[in-house]
Amino acid sequence: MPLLVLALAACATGGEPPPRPHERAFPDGFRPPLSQATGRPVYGWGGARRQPEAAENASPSRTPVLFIHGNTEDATFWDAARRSFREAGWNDDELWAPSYGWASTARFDANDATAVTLDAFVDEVQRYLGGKSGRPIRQFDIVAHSLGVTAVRQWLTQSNRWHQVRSFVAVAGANHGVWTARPDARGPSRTSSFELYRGSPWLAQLNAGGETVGAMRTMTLYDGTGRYDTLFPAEDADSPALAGAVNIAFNREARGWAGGHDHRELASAPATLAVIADFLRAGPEPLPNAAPPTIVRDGDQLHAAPAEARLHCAGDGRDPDRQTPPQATVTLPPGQWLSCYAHSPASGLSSPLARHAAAAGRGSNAALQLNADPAGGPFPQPVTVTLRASDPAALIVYSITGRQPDSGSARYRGPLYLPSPVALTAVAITPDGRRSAPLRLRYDIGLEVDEALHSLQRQLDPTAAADDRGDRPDGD
Amino acid sequence: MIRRLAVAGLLLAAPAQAAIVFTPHVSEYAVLPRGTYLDTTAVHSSIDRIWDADGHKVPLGNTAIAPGESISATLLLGRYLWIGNLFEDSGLPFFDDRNQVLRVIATAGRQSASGAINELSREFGQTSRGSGFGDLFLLAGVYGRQYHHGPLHGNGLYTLTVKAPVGSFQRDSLLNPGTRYWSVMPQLSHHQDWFGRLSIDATAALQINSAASETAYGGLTPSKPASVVNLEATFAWKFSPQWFAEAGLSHYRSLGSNRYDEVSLNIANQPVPPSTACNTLLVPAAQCNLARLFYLAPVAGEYRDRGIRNSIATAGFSYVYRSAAVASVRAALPVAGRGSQFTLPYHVCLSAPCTADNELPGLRQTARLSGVQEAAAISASPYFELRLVLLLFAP
Repeated sequence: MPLLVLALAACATGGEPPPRPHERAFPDGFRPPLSQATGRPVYGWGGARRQPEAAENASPSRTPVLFIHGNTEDATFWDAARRSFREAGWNDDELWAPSYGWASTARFDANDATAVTLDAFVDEVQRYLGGKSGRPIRQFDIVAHSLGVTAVRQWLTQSNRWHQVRSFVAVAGANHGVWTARPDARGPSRTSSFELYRGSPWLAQLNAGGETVGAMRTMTLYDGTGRYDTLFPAEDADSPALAGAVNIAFNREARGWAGGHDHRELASAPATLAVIADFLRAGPEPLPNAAPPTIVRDGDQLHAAPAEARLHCAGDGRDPDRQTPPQATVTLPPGQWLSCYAHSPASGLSSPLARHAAAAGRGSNAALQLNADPAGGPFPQPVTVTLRASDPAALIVYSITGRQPDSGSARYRGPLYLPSPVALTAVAITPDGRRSAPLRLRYDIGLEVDEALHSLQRQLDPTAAADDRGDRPDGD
Repeated sequence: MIRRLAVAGLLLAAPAQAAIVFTPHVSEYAVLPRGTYLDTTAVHSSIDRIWDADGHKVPLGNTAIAPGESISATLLLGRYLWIGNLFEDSGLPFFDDRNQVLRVIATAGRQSASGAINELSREFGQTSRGSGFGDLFLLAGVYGRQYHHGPLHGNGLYTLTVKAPVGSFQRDSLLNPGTRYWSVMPQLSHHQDWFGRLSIDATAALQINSAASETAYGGLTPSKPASVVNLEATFAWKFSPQWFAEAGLSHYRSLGSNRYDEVSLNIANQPVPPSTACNTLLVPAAQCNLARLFYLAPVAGEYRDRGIRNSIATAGFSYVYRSAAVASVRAALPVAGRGSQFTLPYHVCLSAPCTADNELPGLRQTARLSGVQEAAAISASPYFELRLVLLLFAP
């Protein structure tokens, strides 16, 4: 009888493959990347799984939205958002949600590993939708919750893809720390704790260049009362707010019975989803086939191309945001790196972030060297890495996403705090444009490393290999 | 001696395990993140009073043993909790978009009685030993849909618990950590949070008990324990993310009577000297002088109590440590109750075996016995609880 039922079901759908369970899958032709945390393919939902029946469902007609969940959650966290956005007019190809991690308190997710996964996931969504629609997908909107917020910000910082995010909604993210994270964490899921404790060096690095960067529109949405979201009590009530963003302390500002949303409801309640959808809808849609503007350097002067595009530049170690005043041309000051992006109001697109410094009076053929101390290796606890370029005037940039860093990548501003296993790639760039060879180092950070180093076998035979593979969470 | 038989039943085993299993703590039924949790609870009580069938607090042993005698009972519950969604991609309505919970609760008890109680047990050929592993509770359930109206948040939790009677059980013991009957317990629970400060966890559970495969302590554990309904509510106030104070009310009562049909409790060293018999059995002097020795034997039959009930007020506080552990201290004070008691007639004979065929006419005596152990005895003494919840693998 079950076979008969299956056969009848196949007839009923005209021979098309039946929908996958509960619509929780990616479409055929989408190649999910491997999760940096689990080592398994990212799962989740997104995209139209069957051939569109209506033209408006054919491919993205507006900027696709990526929903990035928080710790211990997975893509199902966004089921309510998916329903809400569908009802508000978004089609399936415009809505995506990856499950990037463990979805369990048994193994907490961490920002650095998530940033790597997000980078690969966004690449794949771009490839898939670009192929399907026949035009490049230049921008996304991102709605992130909790750990997803800081993970997205870390991904943007490390990959210099600010220009690819039109609008970013950061719901209840620990942008300035969370009381549940501690610097002396010892449990197996300690990494996110090292990243997100109040005053952590990791957060300092994340926020150093500015809390909102590039032309990206940013809105934060959080409790603000210190009561309803248990992660942000009164003393941390505004931790999720970001300088330069539209900050909405939703429960604090709500009147009557409109507030009272807890940590999860802030990203899943109809009232907050409506605010999020309104914010995304208000973003100007980029021209579909336009190319992003570029920054043109002419000696020590910068301008944007095309001519109607404008430069937004910031100095003093800061990165420009959308409030940074536009300029037609910029003269590079001596001895200072300017961080700039070009933005075209006509197309709505921006260039990647780039850093430039005046090269006047400089010039050398000496090979530029970049060194790290320590130069990779196993460490039982978070490690602080010092990078030094042979030219002190050189800019040092780095990335943990596996990408080759460019001048707009994460800037080295001082000893680098690495709380989790990362593959670090760094380069030094001089004001006259010389680049060092990429420095690629792996920092294998985890208590398991220490345990393996001090195993009974190694005490009996110090020459024995320290093998911690069996003890490490997959993907670490 | 009949009086001593009667008071023997006014002893007790451990605090009722099943009831403690259901007593909610702060946010016990709230939706928690997926994952695994370990929860250990230690309960200690020095029991010197119990509830009789009329709802009076009576001392252990009544007047048969000196005041100050008590039973020390310590119960340890280890609970492993898993939360996740087994049906996430199944398309199964109701289950596919809400998490399920699976819980295993293992128990262990250490119980001991003070000297006079041990002596009393020995007079009946029984013991007061009672330490070892208790029964195993297996729970499965699913969260209800979460709702939210302004400052009010809530959700339900629907569970079914099965108690497997695998615990340590000795037929001659007053204090057994385990039982010999199965229980199935459907439970409706609810969690509410008001203004982010006040949380309410309430539950209603029905404990449906099977017949016991064995009875203990001379048949003073019910051979067919009555089903029990549990109603509990805990109110907690959050002072800070770390500190909570809580107060609760708990009530459980049997639905109908416990049945006893294997009662064999009797004085071990028989025959009984006439002086003892005359004084304690209130046998008339003329009959008392008929013989030098008497034999006693319970009249076989089916006996029922009037049911049990207990109402407990609880108060305590909780401290959240490093977001990965919760420590709770709680005191529970019984405020009203009713224990299991029934009247059992005894044959009085001049020769053994003492049966209806050779009993002394008109001398049949009755004793009001109290049931023992978790299905029957209701402690009127406070108990203290220390609970530690660990979020395994957390930072």
